[in-house]
Amino acid sequence: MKKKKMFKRFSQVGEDHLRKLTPHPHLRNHQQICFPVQNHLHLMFLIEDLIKVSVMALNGIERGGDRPLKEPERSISEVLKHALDLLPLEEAEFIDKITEILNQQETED
Amino acid sequence: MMKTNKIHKQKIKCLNKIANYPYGLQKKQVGRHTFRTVNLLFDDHTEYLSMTTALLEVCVLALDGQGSFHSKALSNENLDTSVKLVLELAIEMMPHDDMFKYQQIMAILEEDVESHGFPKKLKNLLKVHADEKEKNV
Repeated sequence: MKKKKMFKRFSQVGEDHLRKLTPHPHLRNHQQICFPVQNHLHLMFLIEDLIKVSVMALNGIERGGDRPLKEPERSISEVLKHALDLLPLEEAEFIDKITEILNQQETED
Repeated sequence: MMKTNKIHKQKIKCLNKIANYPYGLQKKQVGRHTFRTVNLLFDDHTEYLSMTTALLEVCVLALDGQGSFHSKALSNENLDTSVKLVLELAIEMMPHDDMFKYQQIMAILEEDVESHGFPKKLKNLLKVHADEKEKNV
């Protein structure tokens, strides 16, 4: 495969797969991600869950002291769901495709 | 006497302008489903993946309660670092831009003309209305 054609394929694969992180429109050398929330209140709930889980990580799920945290498992579940939303699956697919193209090139050579 | 309708119309115009600011949570529509999107800044993919990993680590540590991991591969991971990263994420997710919008919306609804950034046109309308009211008393 010619080098030019190969880079064209790289760019195409990049366009198709690099969607999670995109260059920030105003800040140089910065990437931005975009994730969905139902509304403003749900964003606050998510922030609350992140803080609660951090407290639990430091103190343990059972030990709440004088201010025990309500529904600790639900908070952990919400943070795990958020981590699922953030997993860079498209990027992983991009690496696989690039590796495939490079392997193909190696075989041809 | 100036009609209060004109003031209400101007207020709605200002509120719509605030709601459509290009920062803070942004409205997105996919088919019939409407939701909002949050934008977060990262240096690169490595930083992004570290953050996602930290989310999983704090969940494990919260469930475990001992402040350590069972897996030997994760034995070098530091509890404080994971918690710090997640708290940093929580800070970055704080909707400061939306709070600014909230402040501006409240200023318009409460007619607090002296507040910072109060719409000029609405301020003038309210002033004229107040002057007219004073004259008629």
